Amino acid sequence: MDGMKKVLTTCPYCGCGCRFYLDVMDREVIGVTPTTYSISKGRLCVKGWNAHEFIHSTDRMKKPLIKKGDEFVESTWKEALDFVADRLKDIKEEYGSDSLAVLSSAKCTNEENFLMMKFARAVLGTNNIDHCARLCHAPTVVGLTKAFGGGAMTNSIDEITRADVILVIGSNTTETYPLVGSEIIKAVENGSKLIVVDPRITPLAKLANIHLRLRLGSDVALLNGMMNIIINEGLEKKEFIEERTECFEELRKTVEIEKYTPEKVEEISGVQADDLNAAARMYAKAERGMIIYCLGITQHVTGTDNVLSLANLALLTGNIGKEGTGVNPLRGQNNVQGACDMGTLPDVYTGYQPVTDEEAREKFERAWKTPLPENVGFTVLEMMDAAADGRIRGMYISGENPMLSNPDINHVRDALEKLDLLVVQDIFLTETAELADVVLPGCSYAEKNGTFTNTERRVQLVRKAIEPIHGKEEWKIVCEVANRFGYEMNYGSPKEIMEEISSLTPIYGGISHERLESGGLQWPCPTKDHPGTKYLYENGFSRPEGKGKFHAIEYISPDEMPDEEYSFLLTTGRVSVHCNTGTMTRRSGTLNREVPKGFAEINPADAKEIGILKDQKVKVSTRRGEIIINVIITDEVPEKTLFIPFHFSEEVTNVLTNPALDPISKIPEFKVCAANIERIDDVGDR
Amino acid sequence: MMWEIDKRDILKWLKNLKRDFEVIAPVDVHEEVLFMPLSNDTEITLDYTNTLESPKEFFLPKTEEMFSFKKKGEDFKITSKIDDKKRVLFGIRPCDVNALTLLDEVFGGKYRDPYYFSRRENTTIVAMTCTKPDINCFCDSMGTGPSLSKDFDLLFTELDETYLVEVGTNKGEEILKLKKDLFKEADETRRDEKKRKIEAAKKRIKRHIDPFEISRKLKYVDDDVWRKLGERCIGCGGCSHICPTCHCFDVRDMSVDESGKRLRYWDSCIFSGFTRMADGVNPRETKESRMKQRYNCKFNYFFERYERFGCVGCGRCTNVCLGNIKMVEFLKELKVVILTENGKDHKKDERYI
Repeated sequence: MDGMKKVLTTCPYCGCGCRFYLDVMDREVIGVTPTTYSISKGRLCVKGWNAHEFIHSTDRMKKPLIKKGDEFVESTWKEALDFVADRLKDIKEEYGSDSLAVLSSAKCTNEENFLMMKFARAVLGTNNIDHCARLCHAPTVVGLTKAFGGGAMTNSIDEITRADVILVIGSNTTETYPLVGSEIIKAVENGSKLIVVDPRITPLAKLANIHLRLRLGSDVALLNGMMNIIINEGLEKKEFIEERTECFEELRKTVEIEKYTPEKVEEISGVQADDLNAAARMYAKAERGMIIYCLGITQHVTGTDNVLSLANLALLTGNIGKEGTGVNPLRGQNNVQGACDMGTLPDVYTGYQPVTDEEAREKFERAWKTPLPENVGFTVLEMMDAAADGRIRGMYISGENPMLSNPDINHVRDALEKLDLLVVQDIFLTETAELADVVLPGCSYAEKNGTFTNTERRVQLVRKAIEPIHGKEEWKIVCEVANRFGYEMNYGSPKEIMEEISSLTPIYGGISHERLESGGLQWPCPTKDHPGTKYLYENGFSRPEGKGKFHAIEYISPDEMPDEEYSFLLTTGRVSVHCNTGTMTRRSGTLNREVPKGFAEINPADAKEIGILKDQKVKVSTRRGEIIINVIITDEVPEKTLFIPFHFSEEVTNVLTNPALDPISKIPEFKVCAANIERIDDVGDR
Repeated sequence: MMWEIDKRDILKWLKNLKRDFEVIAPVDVHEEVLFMPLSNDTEITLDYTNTLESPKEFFLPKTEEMFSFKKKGEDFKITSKIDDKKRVLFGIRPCDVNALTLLDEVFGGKYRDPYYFSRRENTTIVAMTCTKPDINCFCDSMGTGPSLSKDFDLLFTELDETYLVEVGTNKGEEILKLKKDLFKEADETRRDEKKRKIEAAKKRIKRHIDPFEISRKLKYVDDDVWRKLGERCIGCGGCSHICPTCHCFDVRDMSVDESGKRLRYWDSCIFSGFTRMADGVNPRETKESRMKQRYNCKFNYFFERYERFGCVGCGRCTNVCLGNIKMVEFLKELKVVILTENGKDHKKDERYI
């Protein structure tokens, strides 16, 4: 028996970016040891403590599969990769480059995302590349770029305890970003004031000084109301507005009008005028006011509007550009920030350099020695529509599971089934992989080297604890497919890929694996001797003349509101033990045991009205589909509102959700739709 | 007899021991201290406060294969896997030694756990008197540190110039003898020096509780207290993971085509799945009920079974708590309402147990 090894790496679950050691014994990962490194400070959430459990799952894909008839047949790597390359080439030749599309993975490393991006653009010749950020924080990238010039968390996690007022909006932080939640709890214990804006009574809401329980989707009205109060009472930071912002007059005209008085906002949002007054004053008077938000803000048809409103609020009160303040989106996946940074988006290369910018394009063309496409590509949902109507013929999906994660699943299935070629690269045979023509087994985070970038822009090393159990490291797979196209991709290691990334990406310019050995680096980190950037915009915004921009935003109601037929509001979200579509956590014994099945939360008043008992099964339906699911009766959800997590393939929540898109960022409205709930009288099997 | 060893010679001695044993020692990895098997490229450190994790995993691994099974026709072939590697555990603190002796009680008795005891009996315990307590330590209150008077094979204590070495058992004597020239006899004045070191360490311990008082109080705690504590718990299970006396495990089979292995792995009473039964009924459904279980396990149930407390005062659960629950502060602030002194509160009392 070999002695135990402990390998310091980065957690593969959420965007907190916790670090821990993987304990390796006899080439098996048997546990997790905490570390005082980085934001973790010895702590981990339930997923982190159990992050080793899925690695050796017997469900791991062992060999490449090719579908013959209706059955998957195991194949050799050579046969599978030849097949993939030949079929992609055929489609490219017959229908053109833009008939192909790539979904990259926020679970994979920066180096792998970079190669996937390069593969789509330089080898396939299309900008049709996107990833799940579209479904979580696309409005953040768009909105914060419009307002500040950069689409990322402005401040850092360890500054939370430095804020004297924290405004948490649309985030059940202790469940979904437990380490950030933990810092908020610490801040409150040290005397910081906490305002929580959420329709549900979240654990943080119970700790809050003020809990604004708004109606789903009324965020813009509520935020305009706060700004109305702040301006009326003269609490805005005039000097900051004068020196560092533009377009204030437009904002003032919009939020000052009758429509957004506290009383009017009460009618729209259900939040009492007094509470709104108190919250507005508390935030505006803060020395250091910090906004923390998540998908409750972004997953709306008004997602970008919501983000812009938060930016307005911070600019109005000067709560940005200094420590312990800012507008702080919590990025969902371990590397969703990195996947965006790496340009696996249809409109930008790495570091948000637009594909439509000639200078940027020429730089990449020179480096990659091939012409690159000029038009902006399709987003995730546009790809699905294009697949359904035949404009997209072939898709290469790496580590994503749209068959559970996208809205309106029935439409996704139709679209994917229409494709001439679907290639899926994953560690498990996911719901999406089952529809594929070829499945290529990848590797878990424990089996490869590379980097992840967490929510606070911190690039950290992922270290190989064990050799690949079954599959191949994703970056190697991509290289092998590219080489079959006659496009040379020969990298010795992820370290070499990072060298190429930093040479092409100013914000990553000073980042190398060598430097990361002694700890993470927060971008922008332009040069080899730059220490990284803890918080953004200290000396000006990344916009023309360094000015932050106000946007006048009007309240628009959600796309689908309750009516007689569908009288409930349905909202979706996550629980602490599961990660997104559950591909990993549902295969982790301890985690899956904790919450083994889906549930719908319903208020006791509604349960009585309909006649539902604890744990009883109900039918939840919307205009798009229906599911049968157990109920949990709790006053943590408001009346006439249902909350359902989306992790479970047995109860596919997203057959219910509304695919209506935010016109700017193209994110679907996961957080609100009209639904109906019915009792099923046959309650034999509870 | 007492011995002394020069600080620089400790490494020589351990290197020599590596020939016959796997040596587990505090190792400086990425500038923090973990208990790890010494290899050629690891460096032990003698300058450490309480390690983030105790060395519990070298007796009860986080995941352990109990046996493998293979189907052959109608028969199963079962191969058990008992770890009987000879080990020396160097540098374990008194709190963690006390935790080990508690685990001995749990895994011993009528149904002796062969996996645990094989490791336990094949490991020589070289303990280290604690001269550097952590900010959350309260071993002094629990009677589990900073000094140690028994349950070691060898005991080291850092003095001004050298380390004092006391022999507890023949097992300890034997590993000392393997390189006896590194040790010299210590005179009686060293005993006073050790005493001074321990007194100084005690003074550095800032947290104190009376476990007997807490044990009594816990029976009368109002529901509201547990509810509030439950609301603070984020359910990560870190307190159990990190606790040197938590020992609950679950068993799971990993198999394909009826062949595979049976694993046991660390579990936690913080999880609702820990007590949930097949039909979904759960006697400890709420976080508050699980909090109540945890504290009572440490301060009452352990005592009822083994006449000792199940907490050794290492403070690690406070260090890792996501909800920022500080065990000592919580226990010290426990307010108890006893309504009357007649039989009625006794009833109330029972509800809480």
